[in-house]
Amino acid sequence: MNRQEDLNDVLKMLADAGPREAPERVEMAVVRAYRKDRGARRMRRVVASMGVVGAVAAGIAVVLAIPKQAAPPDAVTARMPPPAIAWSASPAVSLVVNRPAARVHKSRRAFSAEQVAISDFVPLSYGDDALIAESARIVRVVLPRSALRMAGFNVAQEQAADRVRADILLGADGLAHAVRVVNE
Amino acid sequence: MNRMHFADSSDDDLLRAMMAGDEDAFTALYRRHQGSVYRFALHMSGSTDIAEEVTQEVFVFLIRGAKQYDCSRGSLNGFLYGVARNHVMRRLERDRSYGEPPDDAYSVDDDTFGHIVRSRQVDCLRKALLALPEHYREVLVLCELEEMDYARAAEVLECPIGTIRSRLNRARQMLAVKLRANERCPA
Repeated sequence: MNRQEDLNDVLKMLADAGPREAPERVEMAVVRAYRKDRGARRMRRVVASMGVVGAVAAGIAVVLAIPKQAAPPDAVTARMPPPAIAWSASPAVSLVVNRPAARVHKSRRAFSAEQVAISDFVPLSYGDDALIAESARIVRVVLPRSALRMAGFNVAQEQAADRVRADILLGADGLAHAVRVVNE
Repeated sequence: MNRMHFADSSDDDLLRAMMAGDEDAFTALYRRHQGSVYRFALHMSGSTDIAEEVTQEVFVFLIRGAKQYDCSRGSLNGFLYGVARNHVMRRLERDRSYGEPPDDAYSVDDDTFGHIVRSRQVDCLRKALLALPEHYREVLVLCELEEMDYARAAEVLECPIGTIRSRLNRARQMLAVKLRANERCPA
């Protein structure tokens, strides 16, 4: 076993020894596994498509069954002429906005009747009533309670992540100048 | 596409057809690659049982995880060798824990004298091969027994070509030493 040729002969013998291919039963087993896998995939697809169809049908049924309500929009804009506003001088600041016949865009839905403002507009620190007097828009949004702190609301830490609906008063500059909380 | 076309189809085409649900494509792919996977597992483990089991596991893995194969990273055959290698190593590790010896993989059923002598020689060679550490054995199996070139072996074993060369050289030396030791012992 000193020569490389001998070692090559030995390796050749080893390479030629034994079966060259897996027995037939292995092929049968893997083909069976393939069929089973395809069947399972087909079944998953059928179940998934039935689920989608079911969900769509249920959605349609719910829409048809429930009488139409004025659902609160995520963001509703009401354009109005410049409101007459009065800022209170007390620390519990409030902004009274007299809105003479605010016109709501026809394409947008009106605010829900069930939703009532539970606070007056509270001016934000950089508010400028001149800009509000020029023109104003109210946008209804959903905010985390923590965002109300900057308007002076007292928000408990454990409720900071809760979400509330609020009306934002936008001035002519497009910035928020006051906020009020809306109760549903 | 039918069986006749599959003979000329590339691995990637077959794989795509297989994933689309074509059983004939899968069978063609199996028949094309099962031999090399089976022999690799057989040489590495010295056991026909393990080789069969590993071959089956490799193709079941392909059925379920064909998307894991990225043709830009290498050939399908290299990918299958890599999967087979992992399964063989796991199986050998498990058998080491339980102390199971490999079966007589290369025994010859024909009991003529010539075959008995050859069978004993092969058995002796197999034992010497199985006594090599796995990282030397796998290089020897791929490059010498499966006649794979160094670049492909490097791809399968995920190491540089230089490492393949040095391991192969060392594996041959170790095998020669073990065979010399076996020559001194009665068969």
